[in-house]
Amino acid sequence: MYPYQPLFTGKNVIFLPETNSTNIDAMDLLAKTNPPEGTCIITDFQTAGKGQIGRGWQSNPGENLLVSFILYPDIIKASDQFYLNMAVSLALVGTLAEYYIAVAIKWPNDIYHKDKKITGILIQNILAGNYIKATVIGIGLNVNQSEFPDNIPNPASMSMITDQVYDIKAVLEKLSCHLEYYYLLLKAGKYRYIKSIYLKNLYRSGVKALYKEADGIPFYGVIQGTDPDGRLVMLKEDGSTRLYMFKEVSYII
Amino acid sequence: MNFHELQELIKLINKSNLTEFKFKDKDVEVQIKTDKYQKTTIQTVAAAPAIQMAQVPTLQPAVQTMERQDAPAAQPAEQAPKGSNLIEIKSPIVGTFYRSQSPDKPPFIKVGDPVKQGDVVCIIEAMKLFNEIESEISGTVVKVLVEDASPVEYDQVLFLVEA
Repeated sequence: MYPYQPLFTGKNVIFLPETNSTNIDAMDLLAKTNPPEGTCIITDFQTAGKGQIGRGWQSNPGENLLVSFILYPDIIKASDQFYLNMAVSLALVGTLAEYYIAVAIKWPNDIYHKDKKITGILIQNILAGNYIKATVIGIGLNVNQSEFPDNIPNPASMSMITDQVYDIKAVLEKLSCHLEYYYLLLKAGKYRYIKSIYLKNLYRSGVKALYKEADGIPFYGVIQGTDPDGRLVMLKEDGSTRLYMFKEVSYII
Repeated sequence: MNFHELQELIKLINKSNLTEFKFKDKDVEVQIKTDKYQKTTIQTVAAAPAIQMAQVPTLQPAVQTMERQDAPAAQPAEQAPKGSNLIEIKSPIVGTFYRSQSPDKPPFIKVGDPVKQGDVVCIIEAMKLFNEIESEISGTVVKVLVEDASPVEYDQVLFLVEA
């Protein structure tokens, strides 16, 4: 048993051998019932894993951690929601650090080991007025999968990095702890602290690297950080600074 | 202070009757405000916006009474035509506005549709966070002001609803 026990996160676990998407299940559960805070839905296999629109999440049955957590961050303003992205990303950084796997957060919330993606995160909020009534945090962490289809760019798994096989339940326990830690910091209003560690762990932060905008022409830029809405702040070679929404810029890796 | 100690601390404070807690030593500073603190704060600051509320009672969605200390003071809803009972549904965030769950699905609401409090009216995506926006009011949709898949600003009016 892992020495730290979360108070509520991951305490109520719903296991489904196979499902379309744990995020869809969690949203349905929220619509129909009142699940206790920290409830999580896990599965061995997703038939329609939700990634970004039009991108599925490929995962071999039983080899990875596929989980959606339900939380009620109802004192967090909708306009502060990027801190949820930060908190969840940092929970994954912390979890992987326990396995001696160094990762960085590729803005806004992909987790990278070197230049390879090890985790996908999809967060769905329900907003009532100016506050976040509920959130579903979907996490797909590649644990033991060793081969990926060719159409997945730059995949990695914990197992590929360390050459070990992991107990997925144990990974979930650790992740629950780290998620709760950052979630409680968030609820306590520690925004500046969370942002400072997010920026410390940001992939390519402060480093000159290649990017492209919609026109597809590569350019050099240096990531400066994020603005309060979560937009990426980039210093371009001509000395100008630009703010990007998600998908307005892509990384050339 | 390590992760475990902080967790223990939060547990203790949760059980206590404290509304606020501060701790500081040479390398760490912790400040925790509990639910109880939030509740007392709301009650005390809600009094000020309530004055403006009284002037435009039919135009303001109910949410305005929930405005907190850190939010801008409630603004009178100037954009809505005077004398009508139109209520605006505004964007609470900066992002991209979607009228349906996915491109192959029908829109959540269209002009002429009835809408109830708690109904999902649209999705706004912001930096890979997908937000289902729930209506705070009930009525009939009279206007959709934003095109599907277009960017929206904070406080931009998305829908007009006749109560």
